[in-house]
Amino acid sequence: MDVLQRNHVVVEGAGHPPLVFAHGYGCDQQMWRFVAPAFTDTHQVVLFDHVGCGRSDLRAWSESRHGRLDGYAQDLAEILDAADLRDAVLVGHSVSSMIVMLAARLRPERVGGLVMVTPSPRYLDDPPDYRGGFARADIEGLLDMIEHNMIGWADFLAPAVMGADSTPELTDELRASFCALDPVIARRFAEVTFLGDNRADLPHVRHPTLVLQVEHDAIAPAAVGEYVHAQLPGSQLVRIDGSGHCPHMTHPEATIAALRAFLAERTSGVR
Amino acid sequence: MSIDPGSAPAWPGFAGPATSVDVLPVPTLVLDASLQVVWLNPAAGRLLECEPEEVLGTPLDRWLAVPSRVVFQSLALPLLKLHGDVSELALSLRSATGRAVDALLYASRQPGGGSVLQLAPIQVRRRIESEVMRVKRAADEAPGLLFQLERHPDGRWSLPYASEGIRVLYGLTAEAVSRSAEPWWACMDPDDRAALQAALIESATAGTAVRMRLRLREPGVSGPVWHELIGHARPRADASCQWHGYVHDVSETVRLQEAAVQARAAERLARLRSEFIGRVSHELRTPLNGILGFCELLSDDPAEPPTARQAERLSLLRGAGRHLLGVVNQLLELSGLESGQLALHAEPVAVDALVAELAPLVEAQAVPLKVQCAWPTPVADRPRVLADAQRLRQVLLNLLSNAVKYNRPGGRVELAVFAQGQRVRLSVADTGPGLDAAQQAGLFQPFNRLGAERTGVEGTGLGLVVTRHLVEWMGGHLTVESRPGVGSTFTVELPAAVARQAAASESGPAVSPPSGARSAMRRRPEVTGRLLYVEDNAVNAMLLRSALALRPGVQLDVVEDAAQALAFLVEDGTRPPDMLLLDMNLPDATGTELLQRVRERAHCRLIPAIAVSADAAPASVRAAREAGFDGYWTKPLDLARMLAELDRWLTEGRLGGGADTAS
Repeated sequence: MDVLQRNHVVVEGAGHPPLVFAHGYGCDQQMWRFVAPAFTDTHQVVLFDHVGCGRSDLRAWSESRHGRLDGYAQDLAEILDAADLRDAVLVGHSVSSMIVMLAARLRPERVGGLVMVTPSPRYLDDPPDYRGGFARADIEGLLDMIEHNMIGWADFLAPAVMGADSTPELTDELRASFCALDPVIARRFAEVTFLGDNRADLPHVRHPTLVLQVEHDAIAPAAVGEYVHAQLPGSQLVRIDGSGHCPHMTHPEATIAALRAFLAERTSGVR
Repeated sequence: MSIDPGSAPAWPGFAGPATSVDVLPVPTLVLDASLQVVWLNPAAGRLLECEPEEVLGTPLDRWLAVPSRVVFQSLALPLLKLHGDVSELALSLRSATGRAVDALLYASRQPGGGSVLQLAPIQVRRRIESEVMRVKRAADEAPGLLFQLERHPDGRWSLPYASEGIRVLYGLTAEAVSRSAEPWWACMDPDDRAALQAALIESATAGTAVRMRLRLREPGVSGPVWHELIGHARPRADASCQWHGYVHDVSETVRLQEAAVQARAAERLARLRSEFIGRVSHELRTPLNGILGFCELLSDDPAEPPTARQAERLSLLRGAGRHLLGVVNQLLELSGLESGQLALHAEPVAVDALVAELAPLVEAQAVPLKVQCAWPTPVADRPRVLADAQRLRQVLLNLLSNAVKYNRPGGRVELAVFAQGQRVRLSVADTGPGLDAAQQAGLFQPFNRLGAERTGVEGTGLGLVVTRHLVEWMGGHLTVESRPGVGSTFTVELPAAVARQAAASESGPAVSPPSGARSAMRRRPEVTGRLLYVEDNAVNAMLLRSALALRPGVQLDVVEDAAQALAFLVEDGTRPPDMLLLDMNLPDATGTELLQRVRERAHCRLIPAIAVSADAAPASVRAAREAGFDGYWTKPLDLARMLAELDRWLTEGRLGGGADTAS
């Protein structure tokens, strides 16, 4: 199977170092629509959909591979190979912060830096010392809620966003392209994401890393961002004023600015 | 960023003046681009159970239950930001008092990046959703596919509903078949698919159920994949039709059923073959009875002795008949062995005694062919073999007889006995032409005489097959070693019998030696008595009558069926016959049935009764014995033996005992 087709890889722009944007849970590469275009003049920009999301090839999904974040990291490593990238800066949102971290460990020679947008190495609390922000019941409630919304996520959400009188053909295309999630995969991806624990992987990071946080993030609280920063040798922490878990959508300018600053340091060699 | 609540926030479908938002019962909030609440109506305040001022300026997350924060951030936000609209997203709110409120979210993006949210509290719908979820989970966990199939008026098929089973059974998603059933049809074997569609359409017309098994196009790892579809048709007014039903994998069931059918068929075939062979041999034995019987009568007739030329021809005739009889007997034995009808009487058998018995028979055959025989020296403490004595005799005689027949003039046959632990090996070595590898491979195939049919040596091609079957049936092995041009050695390996006390049954030669038999063919007027022969076959009756010419003192009455026999035996003061010969296949009864009726009569209770039958199957002989017959004569009758036994019964009465003359 062609890796670039499998993950619906889109390459835009030119310039070194290349930027690879990895979307988080719940949508697809279009999440980066307010941020990625800002870099196409100066960088090669690589966007992709995780298997099971967006326009990826559903047939590539397998429990043995995608039942763990390592499988998603393996997919990303193969994308780096297929696009033959060097010194790539991997930008991951939320769960993809962990995926880009694992991928960098698989292909250290292809990676130049990491950007973790609202990362959380573990969503569940681990008393007494670690507070991820979620109790076990919250995660179960979440899976339940996702499933509820998945009863007809693909079926009634797409017609709803289009309006009732749209033609089926157009809706089909939308459905296939817009934040599409296979219900079963969506549930499994949520389990893998929200029940995972990658804290032990943090100290192994060898690449310069930017940790980008939002001041009031109900999903990855400030303390978690500080934990990640503390565990990553030589990482930078940048905090965006405001609230939310998706600064690339709610605070695109601040996100772009933080990214640019990080890239500028990388290219100028200043640490 | 701020939105002035006084200037009506515009969202699709709303066109009224701003003040009406306040009185609308629908809780409504306005967020800025960073998801902070900048405006809300009183209904929203009531929903969140606090004053609107407490809500203003807070992030929306504050009012969402933890799971709903993730849902909002990861599912609703991208839709809102990227597309502008969200409809009917289920969320769980958390009010100021901590109460959970389930609501459906309708949201639309506003110019400038803010958004308007409307929340519809749901209670009934949440319950219905929970019910739907329960049903969906049950359907998705079912080990098969639950479906709704629809045939549209234009002939198109689709699966508006398919449970998760479609992924397991076909590797398809419900979505892939929701508009067209083509991907589903494509998984099926084309013939089965056509048959299924035809059955579905027929069921729509008749309004009946469909139940069908069909194969998938691609076989699985352990053979063809079989599915069973069960569906009910629900025709609709517009010439379309819906079916609701269930598909599940029945490959394992089909495989088991096929195996059972095959086993039954194989069993039936084996039984039919045995029955067929039994019938054929029966049919052959009856005329052979006549041929061999009259042959003997002609050659031994003291009144009209045949001329030398006639005697020679009679001898040829008798030889041919006996050969045919040999074939029939072996076929019968084989069918009995293969159908497991033969009972095994395993007992310790003394090998030396058996050899002593066999040696003269083999020598008689070897001398004319100038073949020398070497026999093992008797050993006092030689372990005995655990075997059926009669069958072991048959096995050894067959191997020795072959070793003599397929030898060279001046050749040699040697029987050797080795005891080895718990096994005893009996080997028969010859100096014949030997067998090459191909011949050895064909050695135990029925009717394969390995080219001997061209040598003029008589044989049926069945002897070794029967022999090997017998050996294995006794728990042993028959092996052959051979070198072309040097000779062959056949070795029988059998378990040794555990040493027993002297009192244990000692099986020496048990067959009544045929020595006296020939002498029975002379005239003995001193034997007297009355015989009743119940026989519907005139040739057999005539044969016995002719043989009894040698026993002028014996009176023979022949009746043709059971009814006549019972009439004959009616108690009228006359003396009952001294002996009964009952054909086992009478037109109106079996011999066994007749015997039972006869035994019911007090004056007939002790008359010796002999079964006469062409059925030489050991099981039949045993059955007749158990039914109370005192003897069992198989056709063709060996006249000499028959007369000898007749003599014994009539001169010594019941004490004389009877032997089966099954040859």
